[in-house]
Amino acid sequence: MSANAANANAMNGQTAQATKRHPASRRASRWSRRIRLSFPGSLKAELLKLKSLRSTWILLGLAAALMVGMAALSAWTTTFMAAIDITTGKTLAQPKPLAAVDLWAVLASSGSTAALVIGIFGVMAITSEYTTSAIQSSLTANPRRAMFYISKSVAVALYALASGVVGILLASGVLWLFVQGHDVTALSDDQWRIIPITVIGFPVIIMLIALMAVGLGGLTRSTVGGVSAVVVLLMVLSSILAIVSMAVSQVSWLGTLAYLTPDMAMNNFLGASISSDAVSSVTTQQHYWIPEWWQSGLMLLAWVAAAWIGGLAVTAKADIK
Amino acid sequence: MIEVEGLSKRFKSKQALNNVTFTAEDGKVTGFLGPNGAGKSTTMRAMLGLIAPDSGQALIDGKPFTALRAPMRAVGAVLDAKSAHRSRSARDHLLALAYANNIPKRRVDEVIDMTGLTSAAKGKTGRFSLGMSQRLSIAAALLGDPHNLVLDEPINGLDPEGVKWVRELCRYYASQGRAVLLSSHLMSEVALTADDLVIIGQGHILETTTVGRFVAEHSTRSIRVVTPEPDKLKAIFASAQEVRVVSNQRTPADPPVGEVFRITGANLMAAAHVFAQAGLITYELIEEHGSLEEAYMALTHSQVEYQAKAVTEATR
Repeated sequence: MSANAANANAMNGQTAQATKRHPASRRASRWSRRIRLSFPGSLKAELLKLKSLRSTWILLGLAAALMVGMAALSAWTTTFMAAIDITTGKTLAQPKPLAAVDLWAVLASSGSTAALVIGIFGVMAITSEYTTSAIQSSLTANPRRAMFYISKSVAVALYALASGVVGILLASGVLWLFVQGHDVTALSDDQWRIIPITVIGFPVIIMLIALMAVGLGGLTRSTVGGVSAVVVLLMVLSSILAIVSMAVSQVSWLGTLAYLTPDMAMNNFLGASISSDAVSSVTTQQHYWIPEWWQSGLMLLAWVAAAWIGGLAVTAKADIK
Repeated sequence: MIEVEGLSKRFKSKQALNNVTFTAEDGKVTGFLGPNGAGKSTTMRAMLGLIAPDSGQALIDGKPFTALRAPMRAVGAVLDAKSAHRSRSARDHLLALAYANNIPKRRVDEVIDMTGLTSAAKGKTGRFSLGMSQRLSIAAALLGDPHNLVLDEPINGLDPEGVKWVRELCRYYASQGRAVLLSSHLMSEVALTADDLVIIGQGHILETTTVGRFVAEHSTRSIRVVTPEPDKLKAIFASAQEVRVVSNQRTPADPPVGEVFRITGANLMAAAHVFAQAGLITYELIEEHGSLEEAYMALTHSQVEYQAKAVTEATR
């Protein structure tokens, strides 16, 4: 038992020493009563987590840059086309006036490439927790998993929304520079809706894509799996369906299916069902059913809801090993 | 106080936990001991709601962890040395955890200071050594000044000073009337720090005891003798039934000549007297304590054998 006695002595010594080292604990009792898990706190934590990662700024910056770049490219094409005679290829002395609806369509369609980047951002916001084991400390600090998932989703949505707003503002600025010196025709009565769809709808769509990606990340809990799912849903699926429906005339109804995929739904919604020369449109030539812009909006919403709720269900139940 | 009641969990092909029941009391350090893969981490994860048990429950101060209003104030947990995003700075990692539980910013700086991470706090955690990551995990556990500490192998990767610090920390928290559950696969480590002992093997609780009782029960004493007269030695104890004389391997500490024996069941003083009377030449005569590590290994090893037999019987 001599070993135990020695232990006890050592303990006393250690305790005295330890007390010296932790003077904070006495003061701690005052603030520790206020410690409480709450949704605002959880959201604040998730906002800080995203802010503190360089990848957030790279991906969101890239997304905004892509929006601006795409807008610049199509604005240049539109103004260039207005300045030449299409039949002869010669530069016109006086450029043709630009249709306002074309310009709005340029803006509205500038986000489709950026959506993919936003998708990767959304996936990584949640899968990086799993790949780095940070999920353990996150869920130990906040064991209410639904609250954790919702606050992360809201944080991602806010960042994506900000990126969408910044993107559309910069893209508008770029477009405005290109349009200088051109005459612009006014919007007709049935085209007015493209303004709210672009101004409000565009950032919201970017936000929805981010939420869908959070859901896919939550469902797969793996960056590779989540990013693959995003790429399939935002690129591959619609292309395959569209190509097959074009190649095989008997199954042209697949073209309608293609319109139900997230990226086509997004583009069709932002196109506002207004035919415009500025954005390539195959809608007029097809004989299968094509949804209206608002139907596409609902379709996208359904995709987002399905992925997000799926992610919530998995996050709420999955064992963290 | 942490109460674990009848926890069972099955992963695909393996029964990870089988009716695990024990209590980590307030004011005590409870050592949670078992070989790798015995179910220590699974038990701790189940306690903290990271794993949903098939049956049973774990209560933290009478409530399930997931139902607590202030989880970080109730439990500080170190589950893994690496539990921070690699590209995030240590301070931001701690700050995010603090925000979630409404813990003030200055507490973050306090725990950074306490764990000796001040100079590294702005660095990315991905560049941290194992020991630094462990300190960061401990810092996170201390954020809420918790009433219970759950530490899964907290000394892994720590330097001797860090190991000593963790020991002091455990003792300090227990001395304040808090419960400390400390897992380890090293008996020697737990014996130095813990009051109570819970030993787990293959998902079963093998023994729930105190360190003192375990030491008393399992530390067998033996006498180590080096002599040039092995026959004489054996003759001395030939009639004593309870004494065993076994040839032993020579260690560098032993004299280079003579034969080495290990005698169990004999009292040191009595043996010395008998040797003197018999005129036995001894080059070395030492009393040895059987190590706790050996007792613990014997305990957990038999559990493995038991399992193997059970499986073969089942397949028959």
